[in-house]
Amino acid sequence: MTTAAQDAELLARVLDGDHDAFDQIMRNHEDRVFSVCLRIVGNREHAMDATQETFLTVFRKAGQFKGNSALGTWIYRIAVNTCYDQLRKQKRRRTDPMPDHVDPADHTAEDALESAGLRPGIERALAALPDDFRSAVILSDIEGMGLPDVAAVLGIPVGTVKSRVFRGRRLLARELGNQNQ
Amino acid sequence: MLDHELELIAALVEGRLGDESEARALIASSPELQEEYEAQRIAYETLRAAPTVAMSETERAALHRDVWTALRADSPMARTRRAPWYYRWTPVAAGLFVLVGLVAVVNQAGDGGSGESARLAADMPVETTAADATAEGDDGGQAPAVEEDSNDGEDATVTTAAASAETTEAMSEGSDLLSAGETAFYASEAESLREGDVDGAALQSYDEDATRAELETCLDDAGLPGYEVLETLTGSLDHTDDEAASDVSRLIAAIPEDADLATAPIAFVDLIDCVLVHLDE
Repeated sequence: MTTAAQDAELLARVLDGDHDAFDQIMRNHEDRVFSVCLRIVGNREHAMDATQETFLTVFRKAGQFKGNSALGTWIYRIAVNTCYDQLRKQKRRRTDPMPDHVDPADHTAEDALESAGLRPGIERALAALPDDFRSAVILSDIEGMGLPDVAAVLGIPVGTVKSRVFRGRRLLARELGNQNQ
Repeated sequence: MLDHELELIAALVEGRLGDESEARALIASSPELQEEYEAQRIAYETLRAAPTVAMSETERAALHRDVWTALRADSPMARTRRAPWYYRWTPVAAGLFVLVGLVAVVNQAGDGGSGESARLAADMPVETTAADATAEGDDGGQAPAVEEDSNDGEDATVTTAAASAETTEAMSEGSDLLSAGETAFYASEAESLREGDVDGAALQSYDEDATRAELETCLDDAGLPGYEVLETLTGSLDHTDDEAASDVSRLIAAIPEDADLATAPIAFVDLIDCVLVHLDE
């Protein structure tokens, strides 16, 4: 059975009140949701919060899923939006500096990235990208999703995804180059 | 740089080309294209080589525990505290009230019509059939009925408007029932929105089940026709330490159409239940 078919069956069971089925959906997708969130928010604790919030939303809105896309695509879309919300909150509170604002000489920040399982050079370059470009590049080049899937997750046309990925890579290369100088 | 050149470079970088000779010849023909190709290749290969990140088993266990704890806490009581049942049913009750009024008036008009039919039938020659009399009587009876309906329509409009105003007022008063954490959350969100921090991109990329039209329908359902969507957001109150800490919901922020964002009341509507949960004025 394909993952999509398995997900559809699990979702039907969730709607019938089978909590084990929801647990299985979480297990099928939690690693990728966490990975995407960690890349987007750049902080392990916030990524865990976003992952949790994503699955709460998935459970609460399971009945509204129409099946127009794969369940995974829908889940990652909720995850990306949840992460955007996290970023907006962080920016508003301004009590928790993001890696993109840190001085490259700030070794504490580098340690935080390393302990989060992230490579400081790449992550700092990613953090310097505009949010829209960053999510497109993360989904396409790190998570290895196809362009149509990225488009479905981000809710934008495939052409826009291509443009964002291309321009995101260009900016990323410039950031990586600046770091090496 | 032309679109097809960029497309070709991207395809070459991602290894999607069967025959790379054309792309490589094109790139070799221009220093600008060569530079772009190198930038794309470095970025792509760096990203592909990025280490995989995963949750530890402790984090995984905590995730499952916390999700189920939050879902168990998501009881009807918790939702009622945020949007009491009488707020949800007020528009329905108002609608039923108007409907009952209309039915009563129509019935009354119908009775009047029968009386008029009888009068007309009595005036008619004996040759007139009962069916003709009824038909003419219906015509005669409809005029006053329409007139009464028309009058009642005005009454109904007034009643509906009054009910709507009462509903809005009640919902506004409902803000008093919010916890301190919730009040602070909405005040903070409203302040940010009034300062122009509206994320249109977040709205456009909201999940597939909530198009802008559906969001507007949700506003109508919440008793806010004529309001326009500012953005969607997550009503996570995790910055508070009160009992609502785990209460997370999707919200629509909206203002009256053509209103000045700086001074307009901002409505926060629960996207799942389509009920007004707070009106920041």
